[in-house]
Amino acid sequence: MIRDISFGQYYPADSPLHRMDPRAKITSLFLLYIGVFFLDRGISYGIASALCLGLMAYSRVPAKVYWRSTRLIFALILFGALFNIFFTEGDILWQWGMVKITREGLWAALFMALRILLLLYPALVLTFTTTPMALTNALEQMGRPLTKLGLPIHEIAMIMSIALRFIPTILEEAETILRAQKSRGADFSVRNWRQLSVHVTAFAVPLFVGAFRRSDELAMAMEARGYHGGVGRTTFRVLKLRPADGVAMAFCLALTILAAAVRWWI
Amino acid sequence: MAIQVKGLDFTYQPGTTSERHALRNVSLRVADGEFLAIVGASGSGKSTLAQHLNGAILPPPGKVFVNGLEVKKGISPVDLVSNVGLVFQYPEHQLFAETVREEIAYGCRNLGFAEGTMVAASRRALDAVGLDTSYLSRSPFRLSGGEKRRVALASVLAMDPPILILDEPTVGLDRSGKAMIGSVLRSLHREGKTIIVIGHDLAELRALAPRLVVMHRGAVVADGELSKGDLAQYGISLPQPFQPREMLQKHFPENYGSAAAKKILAFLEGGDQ
Repeated sequence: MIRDISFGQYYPADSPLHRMDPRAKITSLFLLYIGVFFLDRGISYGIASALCLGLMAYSRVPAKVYWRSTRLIFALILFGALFNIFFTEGDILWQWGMVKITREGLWAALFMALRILLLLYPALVLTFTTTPMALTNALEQMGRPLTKLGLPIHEIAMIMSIALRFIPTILEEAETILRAQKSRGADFSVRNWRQLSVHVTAFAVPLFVGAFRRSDELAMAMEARGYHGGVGRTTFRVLKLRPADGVAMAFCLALTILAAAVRWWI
Repeated sequence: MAIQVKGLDFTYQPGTTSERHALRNVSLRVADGEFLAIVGASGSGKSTLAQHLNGAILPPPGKVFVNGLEVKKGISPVDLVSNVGLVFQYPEHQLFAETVREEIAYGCRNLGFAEGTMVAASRRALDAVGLDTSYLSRSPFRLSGGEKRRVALASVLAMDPPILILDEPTVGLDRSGKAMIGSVLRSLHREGKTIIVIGHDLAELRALAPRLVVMHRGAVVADGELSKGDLAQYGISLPQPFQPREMLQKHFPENYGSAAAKKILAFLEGGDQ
């Protein structure tokens, strides 16, 4: 059924990026994102794209996997590119009646496409090289100062990690419920929307009831094992920043500053 | 011939890390009106087999025939479901309607029963599981565990399929609950239905069904009216029945005569609800 949510899912491999501290990776991504917005000319985009490809290679995740995740955005990029090509004013290169293509249009389309990809691929590098648990751990630790402002950072991180952990369980239950109701004659191909809504109810209600039942049981199980909230709670895997993490972040910061400099002073 | 299975093979999620070869070339024949139990440990493939029998999972590889009808892609769900009723494990997890009446009516309506036929079928089904008609207007979500299970069972019985397959019907029930399910199934069998029960408790199922089909790791390893001797030949030994009295005497002799022990024994041996 809907088993293949592989978009952005963790891809196990052995690379320096996989081993990097997730907090450093998130920070680096953030810095790179700022840098992308300073790009304004062909040569900048060219260097940025080359660096991006290098980053993807560094992750040891096969190109096929990156391509699979791009396919979904492809339509958006194509649409945007076509829009830019045909509707930007400037030196006309080719014309056929009302339809015209300009040099500016081509550059605009290319830059737009590259910008989208330069935002997409580093993010994929992050999710491919970092497990969901590591990501939530990192976000929780990075967000800890915000608890002083009263924000429930620990609870939010707990919600995220429990939700992630239960995705396969709920999917399996959904499939079971679907099969069970089909065994009672549920037919999801009916046209009549009133009939269809009964069948959908027969699927959705047990699913939600089951989810609440599981959450009750989980809460009891957690308390039975001593969970009492986030205060004073330690983690099994302690995140430690290593020199390599510092270097990576410094490098990204440098790139961003360079991009800004190129944009405004050259 | 109620059910014919030929060379059924099934693998969960092939080509991934969670790949599991659940059924290996399984063949089976069930005559009309038979009562049999499919026994196996968890993971032996018995639930997978059951789901093939009512089209929840479709062959190929292999073929499945139900009352002469071949189960394959494109088969009308109504045809299939009116021939085979499959009661899943923990059927109470499928309850969704506002009243028991609506819950039981769901399956009947899907099969296109007329209103009058449906009312009669609902009453018969409730009666078969030992619930009276006062339950019809109650919410299924406010019933006890045992009552929920019975309502879920009734909702399949009301569809009146000639073949009934039940996956672990007694799981999670106490002794009297198990006994109740057993007597319901026996009376359905007497009415002429073909009954297939799937479970893991060899001793319980051997007492319930005349024919045993034993599965192990996706294959059928024994099939027939198996005596203890037959089973021993296959290396299967019946587990010792749980004897609470003997266990208490042996391990807690000093507490054996206490009032608390008497109460516990009364519960374990009497099993009242």
